[in-house]
Amino acid sequence: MQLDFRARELTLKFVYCGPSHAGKSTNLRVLHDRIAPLHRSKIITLDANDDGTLFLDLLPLSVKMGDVVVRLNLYTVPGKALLTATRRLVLQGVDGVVFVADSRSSETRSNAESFVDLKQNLRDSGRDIRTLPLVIQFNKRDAADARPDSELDALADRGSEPVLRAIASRGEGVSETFVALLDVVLRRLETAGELERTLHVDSTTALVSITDALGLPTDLQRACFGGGGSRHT
Amino acid sequence: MSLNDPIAPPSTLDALVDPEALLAALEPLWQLSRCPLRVLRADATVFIALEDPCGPAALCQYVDAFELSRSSCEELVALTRAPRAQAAMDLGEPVAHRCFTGAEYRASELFLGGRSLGRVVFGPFRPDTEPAADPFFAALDTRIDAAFADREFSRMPALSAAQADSIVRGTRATIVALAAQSRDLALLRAVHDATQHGPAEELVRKNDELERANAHLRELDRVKGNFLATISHELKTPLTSILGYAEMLSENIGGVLNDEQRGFVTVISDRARQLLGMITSIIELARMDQKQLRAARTPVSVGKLAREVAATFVPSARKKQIRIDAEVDDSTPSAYGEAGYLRQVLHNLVDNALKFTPEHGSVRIVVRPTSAALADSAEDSVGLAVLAHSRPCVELRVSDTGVGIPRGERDRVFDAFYQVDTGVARQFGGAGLGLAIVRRIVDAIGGQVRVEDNEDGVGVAMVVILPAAES
Ligand SMILES: Nc1nc2c(ncn2[C@@H]2O[C@H](COP(=O)(O)OP(=O)(O)OP(=O)(O)O)[C@@H](O)[C@H]2O)c(=O)[nH]1
Ligand SMILES: [Mg+2]
Repeated sequence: MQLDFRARELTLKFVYCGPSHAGKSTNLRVLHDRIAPLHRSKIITLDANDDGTLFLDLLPLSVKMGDVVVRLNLYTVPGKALLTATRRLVLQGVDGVVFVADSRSSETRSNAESFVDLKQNLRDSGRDIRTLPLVIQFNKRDAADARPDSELDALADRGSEPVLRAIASRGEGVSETFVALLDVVLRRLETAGELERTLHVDSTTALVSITDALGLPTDLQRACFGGGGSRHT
Repeated sequence: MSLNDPIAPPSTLDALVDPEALLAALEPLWQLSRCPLRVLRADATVFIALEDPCGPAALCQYVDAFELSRSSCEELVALTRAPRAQAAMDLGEPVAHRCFTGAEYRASELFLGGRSLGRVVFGPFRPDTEPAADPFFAALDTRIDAAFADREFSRMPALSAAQADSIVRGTRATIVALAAQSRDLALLRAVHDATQHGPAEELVRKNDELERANAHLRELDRVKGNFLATISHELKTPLTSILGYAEMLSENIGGVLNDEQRGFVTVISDRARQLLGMITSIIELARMDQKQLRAARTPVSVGKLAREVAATFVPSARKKQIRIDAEVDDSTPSAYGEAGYLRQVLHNLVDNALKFTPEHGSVRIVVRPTSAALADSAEDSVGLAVLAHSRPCVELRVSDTGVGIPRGERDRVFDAFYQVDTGVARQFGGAGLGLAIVRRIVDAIGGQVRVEDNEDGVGVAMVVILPAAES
């Protein structure tokens, strides 16, 4: 989190991580198309080819709350295993992570490897994934060999973070995932006393005004696996 | 959906490389031969040049003196400076150009990210295989003195083809490295600008504050754990005395009791024992918290444990006329856990089931093989949904025919001090800490526990999934 008192700006950095081709860039594009131009700039893509992201995508969002400008910078990192140094660079100063997993059973292993890489990258920069706001998105629910809902429901129940379903290529579950992360991040700031100090509101009020302004839904239940949605910590 | 244009990184030498810095970097390389070394922009204009301050070689000046040789020379120089397509240049490998005097040039294209920044042109130099000028030069003009040309040619610095190539490669590598570095910086700056980041110190300060807040919370947690353990010990001591004296009374050591008095004393003992059980649980729970319960894991036969634990409960079950039986599938693999802790899991589950099962009900323990998605390590609760993978497991299921647990509350029964808030629960005494301890242990072993409907109808089943030991 960054706070510029003079400019009255609060900046939060969200990073979309996950294995190659899971749909991170697609998530950003959907949000871009869904959010009114007033509140977003265009997507900035640094280095990409037909085979995916090579450096990063960035979608800057901004919303005014009272006299404070809240900036939400959404990044994607490249999923390719080799580009771990790039990921570490982009992850610096991150406030929240969306882990985009690929639902296809064939990708179960690369999901896990990518997550381990994420944990390691965070650890290398002195961060701990256990204290970092995190939501998991199982994308490509439309894939023929997608893992069954029942399996993911059970896992979501036991894990400690919200798990959401998505078909990013059709725009489904994308807003919900973003809002779920925003929710976790705002609650975390609230616990640390930051929200009261900067925005003078509680996390629920902040969430509703930001999502309202961006034109995104606040009801996530439909997109959550397991008992999710309402039990973020 | 539309893809926006990628940010175009700067792609000219002028934007990427400081000429002064480049001159300084190339100077030592140039000193090796002191033959002219030029770096040209993509449009073939000169970006920097390293040349002998005494001017071009005497031979070159001689070439310039005659019209035909001068124009041939200009043609050749234009050729060395012309841009090359990437494919033809084999990604910047030096290309040789031969002058009609026998001197040579090397040219190499500077590619960065698939785009040409310009090129390096090195020469003229004398190939060390050529002692004299090419006679073709003297043939260009009758006025040319072949002996003079030969002498000046032999005075030019001589280099092997390999030496010339490596000077060019070194130059190219230096420029490309400098350019790549500043391109990456420019890209970063572009991102930075796009997001309008504030001062870095603010970021660091915020992070520190959050870290401190976290450390404080952890410390509070630890203190709470210690507090529970201490206070519980303090409670245990007087309670042990109460139990001891109640026992002595009931054994008529303080005089013979009448039936009513004996009844009262029995109530005192029962309640005190119940309290002692709870305090013991609190101590256990606090201790588990502190040690993070790193259970030593070995293969354990859950079936055998289940039969043993069921047997120990038979007397108390009989008192309530509850049937208790253990059903073990013989193909069940061993679980990976710690026998003492697993016994406690079973004990707590059965104890809990008996407590909530009314008279004439039944408690059933089932042990059978299954497969489930479990994570490799107990610390993997963060990201478990992506870290877990399907593996052989042992299912331990303790079902009762009790009052049941509403669906919405099933997650919470494993929280410490949780009580299903019904009259029945109060009547039977709370669930206390038994299930919280079960969850701590199962978590530590890397298993999972949940509440399901009883497969046989009324009541619930507590289902524990444990990783199977590798066979
Ligand atoms: N079937 C299906 N395809 C999807 C879905 N979401 C994204 N895709 C496709 O998956 C491919 C990869 O998507 P990207 O968004 O580029 O993936 P990425 O995670 O950014 O990949 P990297 O940049 O390589 O790390 C594209 O062809 C998408 O159209 C989905 O929900 N279902
Ligand atoms: Mg991408």
